[in-house]
Amino acid sequence: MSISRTPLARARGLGSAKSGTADFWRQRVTSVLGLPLIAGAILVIVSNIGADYRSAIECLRRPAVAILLLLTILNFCVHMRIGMQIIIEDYIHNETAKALLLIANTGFVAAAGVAGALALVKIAAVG
Amino acid sequence: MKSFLPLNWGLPGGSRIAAGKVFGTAEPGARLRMFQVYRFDPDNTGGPRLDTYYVNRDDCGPMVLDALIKIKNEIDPTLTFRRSCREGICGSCAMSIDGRNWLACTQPIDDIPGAVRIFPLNHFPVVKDLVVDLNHALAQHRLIEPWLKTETPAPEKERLQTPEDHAKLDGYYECILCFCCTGGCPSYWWNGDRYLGPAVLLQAYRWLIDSRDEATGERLDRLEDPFRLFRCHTIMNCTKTCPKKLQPAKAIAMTKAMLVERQH
Ligand code: SF4
Ligand code: SF4
Ligand code: FES
Repeated sequence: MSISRTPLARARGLGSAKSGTADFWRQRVTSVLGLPLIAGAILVIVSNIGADYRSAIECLRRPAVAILLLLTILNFCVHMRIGMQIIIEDYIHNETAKALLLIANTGFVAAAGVAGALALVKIAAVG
Repeated sequence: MKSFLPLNWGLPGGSRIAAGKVFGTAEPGARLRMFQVYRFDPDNTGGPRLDTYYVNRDDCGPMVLDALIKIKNEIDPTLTFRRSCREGICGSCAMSIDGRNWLACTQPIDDIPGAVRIFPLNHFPVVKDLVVDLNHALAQHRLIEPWLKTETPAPEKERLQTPEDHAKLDGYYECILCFCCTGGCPSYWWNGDRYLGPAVLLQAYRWLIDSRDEATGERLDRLEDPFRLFRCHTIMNCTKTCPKKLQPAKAIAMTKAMLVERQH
């Protein structure tokens, strides 16, 4: 005969993690900030349609443009990481697979973010 | 709300619903309504089936529960379902009717076009026919300690609350724990073992905003968890399927707002 835990023991499980609010709030903040940032980034792209390589690079070297694009990358890296983490936690129920995917998610976001930022810094510094 | 997926689409072998028996057909001149009801007998080796009953609408009360009672009394006494108050106050008769979780006793038959299809409440394990196992959901309700918690010694008479403070509970205290909302919540389907679900979270909020309660912070601590609370992604199915017209999604959003408020 198997003796199972009581329903209350199962419902309580490991207890409350006493966290989650920070990620919830960060997700809302990056949504709101993302709107003007993405609008600015699109403006930069549109204003460079038809421009030649040199003038496009010159545009990206302007401090205001470089800062805007860096912030956009940072903002969406944070947003993307939390969003993907939520999807993984929703649908992946194997604990090992979940842990591996969460690590991969962090790694991917870090790589994409650093690559994007480095490209902008290089353009700003070297041209 | 008719399902446009085939009945057994994606179901594992043991859950596939077979065509069932057909009871009582054409009485000449009678205004017949067809009811298709999910049946499952745990003492039988066979899987679930969908039985068909014809009920004379002129000789039956207006609600789906009236028809179920008539079927049980006059056509097939083996049909098993829960009911008690038959007026939308006990929460026993929640089931999936015409593709939506609702109380059988407050769902008019005549509002449903065509055959009336009745299944157990979504998601919960089936005990028998339309009776589902709510043990886990009720344990989750116990988890939030749904009672007034105070340390201040009780006053001589009752603990007072202003009419304004009491009005804040309107739209929340009326929950009858039928679990229509929880059974309809996709987040609960995927993570119901840890996610508390809309019914329990609405109840939790009802105690969070009770002006007489002294355990607000402790209650928030207990809820602050990526799974218990934050699995709610504001899909809003719960609000659509609450037969008491309450707004569990709003209660959850307000709870999250309280947690943000105490961080800043
Ligand atoms: S709003 Fe939240 S509780 Fe309601 S159905 Fe959606 S996920 Fe579930
Ligand atoms: S909130 Fe509505 S649907 Fe959910 S348990 Fe309460 S009464 Fe039922
Ligand atoms: S029988 Fe009580 S709510 Fe339907």
